[in-house]
Amino acid sequence: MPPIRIPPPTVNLTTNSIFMDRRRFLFSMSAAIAASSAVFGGLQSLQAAVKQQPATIAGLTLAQWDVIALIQTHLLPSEKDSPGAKEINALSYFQSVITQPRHDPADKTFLRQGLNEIETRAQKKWRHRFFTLDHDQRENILRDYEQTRDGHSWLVMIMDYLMEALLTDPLYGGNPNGIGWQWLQHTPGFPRPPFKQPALFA
Amino acid sequence: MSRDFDVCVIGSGAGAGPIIWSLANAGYSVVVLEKGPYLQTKDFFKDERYGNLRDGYKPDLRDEPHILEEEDDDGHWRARNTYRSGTNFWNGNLVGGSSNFMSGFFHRLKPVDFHLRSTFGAVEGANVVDWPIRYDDLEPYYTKVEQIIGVSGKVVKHPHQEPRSTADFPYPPTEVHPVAHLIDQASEALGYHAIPTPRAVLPQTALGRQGCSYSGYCGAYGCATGAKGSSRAALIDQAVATGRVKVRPYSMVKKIRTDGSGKISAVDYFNKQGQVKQVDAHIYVVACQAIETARLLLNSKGSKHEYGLGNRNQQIGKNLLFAGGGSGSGRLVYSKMKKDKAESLKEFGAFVNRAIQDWYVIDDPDFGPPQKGGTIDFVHMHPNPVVRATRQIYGQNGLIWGTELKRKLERHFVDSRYLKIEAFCDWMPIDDCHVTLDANTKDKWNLPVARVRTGYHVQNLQVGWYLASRGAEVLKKMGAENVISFASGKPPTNLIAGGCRFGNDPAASVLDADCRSHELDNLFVSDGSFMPTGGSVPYTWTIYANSFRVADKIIAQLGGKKSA
Ligand SMILES: Cc1cc2nc3c(=O)[nH]c(=O)nc-3n(C[C@H](O)[C@H](O)[C@H](O)COP(=O)(O)OP(=O)(O)OC[C@H]3O[C@@H](n4cnc5c(N)ncnc54)[C@H](O)[C@@H]3O)c2cc1C
Ligand code: SF4
Repeated sequence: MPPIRIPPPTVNLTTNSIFMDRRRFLFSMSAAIAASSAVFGGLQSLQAAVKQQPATIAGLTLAQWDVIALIQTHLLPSEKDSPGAKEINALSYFQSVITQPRHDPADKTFLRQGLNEIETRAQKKWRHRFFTLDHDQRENILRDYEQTRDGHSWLVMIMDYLMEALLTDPLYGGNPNGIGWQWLQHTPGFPRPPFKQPALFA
Repeated sequence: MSRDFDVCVIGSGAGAGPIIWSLANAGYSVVVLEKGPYLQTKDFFKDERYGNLRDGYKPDLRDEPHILEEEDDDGHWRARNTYRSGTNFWNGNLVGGSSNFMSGFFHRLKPVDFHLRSTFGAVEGANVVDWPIRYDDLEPYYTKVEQIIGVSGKVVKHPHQEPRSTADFPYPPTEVHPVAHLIDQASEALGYHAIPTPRAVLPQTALGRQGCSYSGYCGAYGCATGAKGSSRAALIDQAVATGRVKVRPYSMVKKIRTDGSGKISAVDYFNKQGQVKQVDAHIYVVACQAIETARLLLNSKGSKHEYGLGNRNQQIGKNLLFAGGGSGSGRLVYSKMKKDKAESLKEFGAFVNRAIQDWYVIDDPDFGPPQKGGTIDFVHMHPNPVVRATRQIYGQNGLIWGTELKRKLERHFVDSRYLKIEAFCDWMPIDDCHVTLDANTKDKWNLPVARVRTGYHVQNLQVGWYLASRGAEVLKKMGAENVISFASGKPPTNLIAGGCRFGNDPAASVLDADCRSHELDNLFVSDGSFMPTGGSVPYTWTIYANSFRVADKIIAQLGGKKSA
């Protein structure tokens, strides 16, 4: 009998359930979303909110969020014919997700730790702040960090939310005017989600 | 004795709907206790995030986890909380249960499934038994499901076509995607029989529900037209219209209470405000989906039921079943085919609807003595673009990002039509697949949670592999690239049965042949828990059919249909 290949744990039998692998799930929020207009208002309302409370968001300073934005752009760069992190509002999308009331606080801690680690590595290797490194130096730091277990998970978390900002309904603040769907010729389902989500198990 | 209702049904999914519908239509009063909300067809929408990525129709696992026990490489059982584990045994807590979200791939069991033990003999390490009923006992109810819930399809001749009392389905097949014709051609060339997959989906307005809108987002999504034969849309909404059914949403049943003589006195449940309420009835029916049904019965201890309700012989929770099988996929590349063919394959919305059952029994000397095989379904890749995109970040040498990721996304989304195979075989019932109560973990209501051990038998993998590789042959013949196929021992958490076997021997089963407790004549279990073996198809048609059968037993026990 031919050998049996046992698949990685991503496999679930039905097409219908969503096949999340563990890493992905680890950094996905499993709770229902309690909606608020700030959450769904997209970039502008978020910037307005930021102006009112400029100190920190999710425990990160605005300078730290600038680094996150830079990393997002590094991972999903803008090109002439296709959107990157900037065009899909990836930063504000991520901020809105991570500040949801029931979002696991462990993610915020993990986000901060990862950022500190990247900063430390940049200082140690290039004697500069990560924000000031050039593309290749940044690539070098991120690739090195990826080799560690935490680093890998941290980057997966950032990329998971990038993919969400690229391809979820514009209602959630990413994918403005369906720019991600258009790029990847994706047909969304219908009816589209309503403005306010039911929080069924609050 | 006066009781609040004739029948109290706990849960409202596929196992509950036929009971509710049948009893209400027979003139009896029914109360339905469902832990989730009562949403209507108009409340559902197709959202990449809410239902799928955030599990919006399932409880927060911080509040209501399960404990998962898996075997590690050294043969030790490791337990962990399902919160942040990647495994979630909840499938939808709302009126209609997980049937709201099913894809509705519907296959009947076949006569052989009712007597596997006497046909193929014992399987070492597995607890295979014959059923106490035969296919003929269930056939009229499969037909009833076709007519009342609405199953669309077309009967075509193939080697394992099961006997039917009607010539064909009451509804023609739903629209199919052009890729189905490629499957037909490839199968024919290989000498296989691709058949239209029956679906619990109405292709046209009927039964007071709208026809399918072909949104392309079906499995895992609630149906916004009513075309999908969920327990809610097809049965409960209609039953409520009789005026004899009281649905109590947000009612989490805590315990089925018994008196000093061991008889059921009432059901205790938490209402939305968290207060404990009680209700009583002449007959009690449990249909919380296999794991939660076992948990509720185990949590319902009483002075005469020290191991749980109706569990003198400690059989509750044993021989839990999932759907065994294999899987695979292939990629049809638009840029490598003629333009018109590529354009037709880009169509979005219609179903694949093809299955092969040529190896429902495998009689292949190279594979060993004749044995039970299964079903291969061909399906589209799940449409959720986020899940598909996220998978593209993994490469052979680490994560992929930057422009390389962007090109990969373009290839995946813009230049490809992916086709998946899902192979279903029997999940062998074994000692190491079961439900117990966890001694330490409680949910937000302070109730012990279910501890689920998910061991599997190697035969699941062998047969799953056999079937998946046959499906892969078809994909290759179609010209697909990157064809992969494999077997998996990981349980699909949306297809669950067993745990309260029916049988004639009270020492080895929980329920009698009518799905009535061996110990309490007014306690029935009507979800998939009754199945001693699972068959090689998804379970829901059988759950529905059996529930209609059990409903008839209950009606007879209550004195028959009431005259209007
Ligand atoms: C994404 C997806 C795709 C699927 N696709 C298919 C398919 O193509 N073909 C197929 O045959 N099957 C499919 N299924 C499986 C199908 O949905 C189930 O087999 C079927 O719904 C099971 O019926 P049930 O009555 O056992 O459980 P459910 O339908 O889940 O109903 C159980 C109900 O009990 C309630 N409940 C639980 N505990 C309590 C309590 N203590 N008190 C009160 N209420 C309680 C739950 O909230 C739930 O509503 C799919 C399932 C999913 C999730
Ligand atoms: S309308 Fe059709 S495709 Fe959409 S969920 Fe209902 S049955 Fe599925």
